[in-house]
Amino acid sequence: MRFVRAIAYCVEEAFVELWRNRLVNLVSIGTIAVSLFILGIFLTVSASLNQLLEGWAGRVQLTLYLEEGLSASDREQLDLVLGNSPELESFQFVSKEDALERFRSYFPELSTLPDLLESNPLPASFEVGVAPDFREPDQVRVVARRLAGLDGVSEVDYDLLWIERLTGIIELVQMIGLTIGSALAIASVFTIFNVIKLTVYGRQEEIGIMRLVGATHAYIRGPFLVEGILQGGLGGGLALGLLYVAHQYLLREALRSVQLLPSDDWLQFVPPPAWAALILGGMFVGLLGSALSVRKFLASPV
Amino acid sequence: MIQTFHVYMNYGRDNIALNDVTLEIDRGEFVFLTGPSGAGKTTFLKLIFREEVPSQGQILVNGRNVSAIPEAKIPFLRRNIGVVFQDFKLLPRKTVFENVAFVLRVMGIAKLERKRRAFQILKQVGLHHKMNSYPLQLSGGEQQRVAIARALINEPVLLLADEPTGNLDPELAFEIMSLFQEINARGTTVLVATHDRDLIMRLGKRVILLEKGRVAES
Ligand SMILES: Nc1ncnc2c1ncn2[C@@H]1O[C@H](COP(=O)(O)OP(=O)(O)OP(=O)(O)O)[C@@H](O)[C@H]1O
Ligand SMILES: [Mg+2]
Repeated sequence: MRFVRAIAYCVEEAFVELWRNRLVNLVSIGTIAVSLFILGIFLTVSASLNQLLEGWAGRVQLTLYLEEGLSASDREQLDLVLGNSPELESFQFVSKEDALERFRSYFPELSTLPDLLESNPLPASFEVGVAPDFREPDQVRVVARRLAGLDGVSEVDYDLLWIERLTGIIELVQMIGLTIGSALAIASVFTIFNVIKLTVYGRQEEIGIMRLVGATHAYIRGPFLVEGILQGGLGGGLALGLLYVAHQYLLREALRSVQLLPSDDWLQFVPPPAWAALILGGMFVGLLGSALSVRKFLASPV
Repeated sequence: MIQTFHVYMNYGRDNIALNDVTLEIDRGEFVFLTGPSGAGKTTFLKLIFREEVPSQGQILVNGRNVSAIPEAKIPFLRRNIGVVFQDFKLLPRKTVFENVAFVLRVMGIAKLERKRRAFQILKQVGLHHKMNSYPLQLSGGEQQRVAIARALINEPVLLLADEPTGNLDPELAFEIMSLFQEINARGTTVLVATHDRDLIMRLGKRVILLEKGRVAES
C-alpha cells in the first residue's frame, strides 16, 4: 500500500511538472514522436514488402523439362523420386500435348505456328512447388541443382530474380530505417536528458527542502523518472497517431493513385503488438534519458 | 536526547561557527538556545538533524552518532525531528495543506489520515482557514506558523525551532510557546533558538548561551 502511494505520488508530481513546463516538454515529446514515427514508417513499408514477398515466394515454381522420348517406366521412376523429396510441396506432370494446348491459349495469334512444324516441339515437364521451408533463394538454387541431376530431366527452369531483388530492397529499407531510427532515438535520449536537467536545476531549492523534511532519495528521484517515462509514452502515442494519419491518407492514397496497391489488404497499418512496441519503446527512451540526467544532476542525498 | 562532545564547525579556514561545544540535553527537556547574531545557534541546530556534519567532535541524537548514519538512513532520522527553519523553507508551489502534509506523504500515510492530521495541526496554529493558500499569499507570521505546523505534524521526539517567533506579535508568540509546552508535556524534547529575552524570561526554562561559537552558559 505504501508502495502504491509512493508510485501515485510520483505519477501525480510528474503530471504536474509536465504541465507546468509544457512548452519545453513538448520539445522532448516531439523529438521522440518524430523518431518513432520515422522508424514506424520504415517498419510499415518493410512489413508490407515482406508480405508481398511471402505471396511471391508461395509461387516459387520450378519447371523440370524432360528428355525427349522418355519411357513410361522412366517417368514413373521420376514420379517416385519427386514424391519422396521433402523439399517439394507439389508436383504436376505436364505432357507434350498439355504444353501445346497452353501455348495456343497463351498466344492465340501464334496458334497456327506449331502446325507448320510436322511434330510437337514442346517438351513434357513437371511443374514443381517448393515446400515453405525451402523457399529462400539459396535453398531454391540447391533444390534446382539436385533436380537437374535426375535421370530423364534435361533442364530445370526457375525465376528468382524478382524475389532476390525484393529481398534486397527489404533489407535495405530495414537497414535505413534502423539506422535513422536509432540515430533519432539517441537524439531523443539526449533531448530528454537536457529537459530533465533543466527541471532538476529549476527545482534545486525545493529538492533541498524536501530532503530536510525527510524525503528519501527514491522519493525525490521518482517523479523525474516518471516524467521521462510519460514524455516517452506520449511521444510514442503521438508517433502512432501520426503514423496512422500518414498511412491512411498519404501512403495508401499515393500508392492507389499510381495503381501500385496490389490488393486492398496490402500495406496494412502496423499491428497492435507494434503499437505496444512503439509506445513502450518511447517510454524506454524517456526513462533512459531521465535516469541518466537524474544520475548526473541530482546531487546525492543530504 | 542530544549529547555533543568537543564539537567544532568551521566554514572555511578562519570562519569558526562552533568552537569546542560540549553539551547535554535530556529527553523531555525544554531548552532555549540564545546568543547574539552569528553566535552559531542555527549552525548548532543544523548539526543535530544532519544538514551539516561537524568538522570535529561527536554528536549523539537519541543515542545515535549522527555523523555515522549512512546517507540512505538520514531521511528516517529527520522524520523523527521536527524543524522550524529560521527562513521557513516552505515549498512555494504547494499549498499550505500540501506543505504541512508533505512529511506524512513521504512516509506513505493515506490521504484521509493526512487531511485529518494536517487540519488538526493547522487549527492549533490558527491557520486552518488558509489550507488552500500558497505560502507566498501569506504574511510572514502566517508562513512561520505553517512552518511550525509542519514541524509538529509527525509528533516528533525532538523539536528544533530556529527563531520560531521572530515574525509574530507578542501575543501570538506566547500562544506558540504554549503549544510547544503542550507538546513538551506529551514527551517531545524541545530546543528553541531565539534572542527574544522577554520570551525566555517569561517561560523560565533552561537556557544555553552561545557566544562566538562557544558555550558561555548552560
Ligand atoms: N553556510 C555558511 N557558510 C559560511 N559561513 C557560515 C555559513 N553558515 C553560517 N556561517 C557563519 O557561521 C557563523 C554562525 O552562524 P549562525 O547562522 O549559526 O548564527 P546564528 O547564531 O544563527 O545567528 P542569527 O541569530 O543571526 O540567526 C556566522 O559567522 C556565519 O557567518
Ligand atoms: Mg540563526
